[in-house]
Amino acid sequence: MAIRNVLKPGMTAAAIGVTLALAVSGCAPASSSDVVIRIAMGASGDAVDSNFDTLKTQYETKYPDRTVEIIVQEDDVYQTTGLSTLLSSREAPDAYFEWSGPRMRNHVADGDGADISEYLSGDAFDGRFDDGAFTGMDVDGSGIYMVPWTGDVTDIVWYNKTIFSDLGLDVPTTWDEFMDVCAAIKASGVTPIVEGNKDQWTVGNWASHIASRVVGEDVYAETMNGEAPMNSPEMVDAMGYLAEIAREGYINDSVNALPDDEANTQFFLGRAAMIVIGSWLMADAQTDGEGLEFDYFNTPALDGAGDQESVLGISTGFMVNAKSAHIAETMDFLELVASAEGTKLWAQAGLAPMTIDPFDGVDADERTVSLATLMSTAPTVVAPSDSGYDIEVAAAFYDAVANIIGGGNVQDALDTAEKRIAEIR
Amino acid sequence: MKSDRVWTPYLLVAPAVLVFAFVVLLPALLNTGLSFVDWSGTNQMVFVGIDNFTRAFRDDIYLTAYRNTFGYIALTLILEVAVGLVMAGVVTMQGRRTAFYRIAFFVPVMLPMVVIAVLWSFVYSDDIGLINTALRSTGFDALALVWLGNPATALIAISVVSGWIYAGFYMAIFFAALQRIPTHIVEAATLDGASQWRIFFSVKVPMIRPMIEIAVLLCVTGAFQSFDLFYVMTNGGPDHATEIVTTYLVEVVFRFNNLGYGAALATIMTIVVLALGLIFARIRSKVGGVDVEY
Repeated sequence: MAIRNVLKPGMTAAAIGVTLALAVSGCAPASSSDVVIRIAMGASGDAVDSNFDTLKTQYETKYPDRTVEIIVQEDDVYQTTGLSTLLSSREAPDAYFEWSGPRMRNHVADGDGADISEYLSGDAFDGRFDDGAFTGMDVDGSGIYMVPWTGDVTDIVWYNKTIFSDLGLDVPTTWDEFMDVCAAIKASGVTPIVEGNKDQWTVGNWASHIASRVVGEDVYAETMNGEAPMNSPEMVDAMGYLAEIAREGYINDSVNALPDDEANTQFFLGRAAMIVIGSWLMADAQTDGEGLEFDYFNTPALDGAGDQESVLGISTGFMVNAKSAHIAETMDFLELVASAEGTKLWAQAGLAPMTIDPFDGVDADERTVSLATLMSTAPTVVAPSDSGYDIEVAAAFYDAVANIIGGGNVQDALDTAEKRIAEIR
Repeated sequence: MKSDRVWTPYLLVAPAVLVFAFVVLLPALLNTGLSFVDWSGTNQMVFVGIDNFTRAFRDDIYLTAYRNTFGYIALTLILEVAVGLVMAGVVTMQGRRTAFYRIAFFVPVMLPMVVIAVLWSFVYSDDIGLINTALRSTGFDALALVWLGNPATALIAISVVSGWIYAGFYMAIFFAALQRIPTHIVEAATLDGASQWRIFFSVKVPMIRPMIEIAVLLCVTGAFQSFDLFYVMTNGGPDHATEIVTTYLVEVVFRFNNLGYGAALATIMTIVVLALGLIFARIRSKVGGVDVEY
């Protein structure tokens, strides 16, 4: 009994000691990393993903006590549910990809965007950007909330050079010429235009551009902010151009069922002569479009009040989460993204970086360089409805566009959109 | 002693009540509370009274989502419950060697829904899809449609996939119920000269009626929980032809960041589902939902 009494406290202490030791060893981090930086983005192609892995390795080599987690989501998921879910999660990203303009400002209003202007004016980013690169990355003229990454032309007509050459077709400069080209391609048995409008933004973006060209940029902006009627005669005229494409059968029948990436594949396989989508097609082409001879032209001139040389585009960048506990460390990673070496990686991957020297020392594809020039020299840059303006108005507009490109009546479609927007107002 | 036992029943049910309260009641109450505010999820909440509810009843897409959901219910009652019942009947008529068919019919239930949705998207594909390729290769080009891109066919196409998945599930339920029917009843009907189909519809089906009623209730309430098939295959399109309440909820909450309005839509849906359950129970009690004893 005496022995038991003596042993009992000793055994208890030993048990507690063993338990604590196991708990401590179990709780200890697997690696020596003290700081974890999470970077979230939508998928931009294998080449881009691979480049982020390269930068992650460089960063972790430079800062051995830090780890970078790259969170890549399917693009549509990221834009809709993905990013908002990530931001409200316990392990929210420290930095995340976003488009400049209203989406960025919404994050700032929600407390998810940090003002990083002090960092950007420091030595690390000194001379990496022209002032113009920060357009749309402030809030009411104050602060900077993004590290600029790429300038995306969001809507251009990519065409298969072999098909054009075989049919003796020239690049069209007016809408009438464009329709003639489509007619010739259709007569040859090839689908003139393929679009994957399942998620509505592909044709929606093109419709945004057409609308801005026809009604004028100011009226377009008012319309997409819900301040001017969606079903005005001018808007009906503008959407008449898309209706013509649907009526003449110049677009794939599956337009509203096909995802955008499958439409890209159809274009790369030569099943259609043209596709209207953004400059990021170049990144996809590196892996999927090998051997295809293709080039691009801007949407041909229309009859309208807008600038017929305008470009539909938007800048992108990385926002830093205001709630992050590691803002300085995150900026160290973004410094690599914007560095000369990082810029080279993006340019080689087919993107158009917004740094001051996007193609220095890079054997970049001439189309990528040309697209960057198109964006930087455009007399007017128009933002797409869904990333530049009120998202609910854009959704109503894109619904109408999907209906029209599916063969619906223009006036009815825009009346329905206007009814929805009136509710939002 | 007696006073101690007064608490015993309460203590026994307490865990279940607590779990139900935290998992169902509390979230439902919080959601109802959110229905009365304008809130993006992170900004300042603004009380808006019943504005979100009045907006819902003027929202054409939301009302369309209900029409589509009820259309989906009607189609799945046939493609899931009725087909499952017939399959169970066929399987039971085959005698002993039924294991293969039962497993084969049940396999789709075990596959991840997203995988099924992606697979069937290819089956329905306009140019490389199994259906259109078969139609074109047999000379029926005119019947080759853009199944998921045509507002007239998209909902039916998704319902067929739903039927392909769940008919096997209902078959398993009905098969188990049919196995419980005493053999002497079936033998008596056989001796009276009834055919297998007559026995099935006039003897077996009435005897498993309670199970069929449960299946119908599951099918109806399950339709309001559907999401993944619709989200992956059509994302509510084309032109909202396959928009159901859950896909629209996701759009309102995650795309438009309108949590207050989304909460109101969810509250209304909860009331609709509860009302349907109550109506179903009422009908069942009125028409005599007494279990057949055998």
